[in-house]
Amino acid sequence: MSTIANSNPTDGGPSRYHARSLVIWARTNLFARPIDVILTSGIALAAVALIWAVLPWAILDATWQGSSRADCRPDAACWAFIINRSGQFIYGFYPATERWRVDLVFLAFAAALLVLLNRRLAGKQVAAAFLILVFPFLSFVLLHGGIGGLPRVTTEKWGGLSLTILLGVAGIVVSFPIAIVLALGRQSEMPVLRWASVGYIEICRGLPLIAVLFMARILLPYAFPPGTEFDPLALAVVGIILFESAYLAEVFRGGLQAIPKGQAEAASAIGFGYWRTAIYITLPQMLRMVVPGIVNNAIALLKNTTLVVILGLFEVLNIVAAGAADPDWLGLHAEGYIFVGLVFWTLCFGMSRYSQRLERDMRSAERA
Amino acid sequence: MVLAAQRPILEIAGLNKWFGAMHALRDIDLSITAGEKIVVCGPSGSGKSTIVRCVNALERYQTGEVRLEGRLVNADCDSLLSVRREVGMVFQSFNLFPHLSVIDNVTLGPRKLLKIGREEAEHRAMELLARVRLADQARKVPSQLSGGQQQRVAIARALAMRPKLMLFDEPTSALDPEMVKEVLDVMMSLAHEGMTMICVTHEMGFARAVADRIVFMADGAIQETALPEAFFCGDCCARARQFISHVMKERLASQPGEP
Ligand SMILES: Nc1ncnc2c1ncn2[C@@H]1O[C@H](COP(=O)(O)OP(=O)(O)OP(=O)(O)O)[C@@H](O)[C@H]1O
Ligand SMILES: [Mg+2]
Repeated sequence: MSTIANSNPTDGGPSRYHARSLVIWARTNLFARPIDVILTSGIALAAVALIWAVLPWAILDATWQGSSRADCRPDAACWAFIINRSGQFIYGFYPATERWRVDLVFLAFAAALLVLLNRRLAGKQVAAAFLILVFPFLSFVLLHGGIGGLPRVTTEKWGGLSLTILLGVAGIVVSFPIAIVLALGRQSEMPVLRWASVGYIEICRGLPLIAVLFMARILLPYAFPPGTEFDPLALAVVGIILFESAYLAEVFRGGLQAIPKGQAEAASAIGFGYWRTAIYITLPQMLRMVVPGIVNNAIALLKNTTLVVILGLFEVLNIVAAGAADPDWLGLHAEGYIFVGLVFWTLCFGMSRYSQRLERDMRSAERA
Repeated sequence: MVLAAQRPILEIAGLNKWFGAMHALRDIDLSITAGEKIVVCGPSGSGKSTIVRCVNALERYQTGEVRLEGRLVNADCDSLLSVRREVGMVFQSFNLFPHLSVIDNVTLGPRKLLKIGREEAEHRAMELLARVRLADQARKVPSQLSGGQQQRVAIARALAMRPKLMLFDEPTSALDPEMVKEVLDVMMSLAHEGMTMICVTHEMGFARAVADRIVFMADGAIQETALPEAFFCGDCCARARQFISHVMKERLASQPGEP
């Protein structure tokens, strides 16, 4: 509707036009035939009834402050639980005095991402190189500590929302270069390389993540001498990368196949060999095409990270569930799961909207 | 010695090429001296594109040889990439890089292969774009240009590598009629500057004006190699005469549709 209003700036005042077009839109879309009238009013009534039923529990009578369940009204939501525990839900068991390290890692990530995704900012190549080559190591050193005067924080202490995002980011960022190699390998003219890539992709894509994580937990100890300790976070990250790189590789292959053959031929005709053609011609074009596919995978992966509880890691879902088992806050599952649901929904919806905007931008840039 | 100067820049000898069981090129012999312009024509499917693509090894051939200044060219030669740098190619479908601006399309090869700095490469690119009369379009992306403009950018992109030989594979047949001339004009001025050229084209006016020799192909073989005067006076084989009259008729048929 706003586009209609914008395209006709001469017709009356913008707000008047907007209001009128809203009425016209409603009449043609919501109340055109008797059946539309019935459906529209039915759905509207149901929505009002639902809000009416939930509002007192969720907002009006809810308790926002308190130090245990006893401070909350029993017949309404106890958001005090979430607020009281928010530090733990975000940082897990990471020591309170060291939490700035987590903040710093996320700030660095957000900055790099901003440069990478905002069309107006320069330095995309530097940002991408930083994200893929430097960031994983830097963030591990910073979070784990033990050198340069930083106290060591072992990985069992990591948890909460920061762990969820860490697993998601590590899964995508580390899988990215692996997936590019796999996608190129799958199209290679060298049979060994091609078979190896196809084999890897098909095996890892055929396994559910939950099965990979169970195998890491149950089978791996048998393969090593008794007493060998595995870092559960390392196992989780490796499992996620195995899984995610296979999925991303298929997304990338789809993108590569969509590039006209003439592009590689034109590059050859200039004198570019295999690598120059890939780096300057095919990969940049492919990456533009597969943004929606990458986002789709990131959304799926983010939700899949909840499975690392199998390895004893408490990301946001499981740390909230564990919180609701705490004697102080016993039984506040509804509040906990609503909170976790909102967190995941916000992250996923944000990514999805962003990818839509990016697609629209790219389409208009091509048409321009 | 004098002999060295007259040595052909490109020699094709006994070239045979199969696509599976399809015999696409039969015993092709052709040599070109520096500065010579050759127009290749013939009916669809006669192997014109395939010859041109064998010259810079976009296709692999089975027997015979293609030599550029004495160096063997085939799809798995060591010298392949250096040979390709010296041969410019212009495609029927332009094949500009859509993710790069016009100027980046032209400078990419020189910067990454000839290791010329960005500034100098852009300076040279602007000269080339001025030559194809597109200096004002340098910062646009290919999709913002018309077909004729895109093809002229493609010519500039090929020239930026300072090729010794230019290959054109039907450079105007994907263009609307009103854009054909602007591309042919650029090709003609290139010819007058002494570029060695092999042009696959059905533009008979261009052939008559520019070609030193006309090669007529059919069924994967060279049927006739003639000087333009002889070719257009019907002083050649029956198939070529038939082909010429066919092309001319098509020309006339398309004339009334033009604005
Ligand atoms: N990649 C390929 N695989 C199989 N056959 C091919 C391939 N490319 C070309 N051919 C066949 O080789 C023959 C010669 O093709 P070529 O493209 O050289 O013809 P052409 O003279 O350029 O025709 P046109 O005027 O239509 O461009 C044709 O019969 C074509 O079908
Ligand atoms: Mg052809």
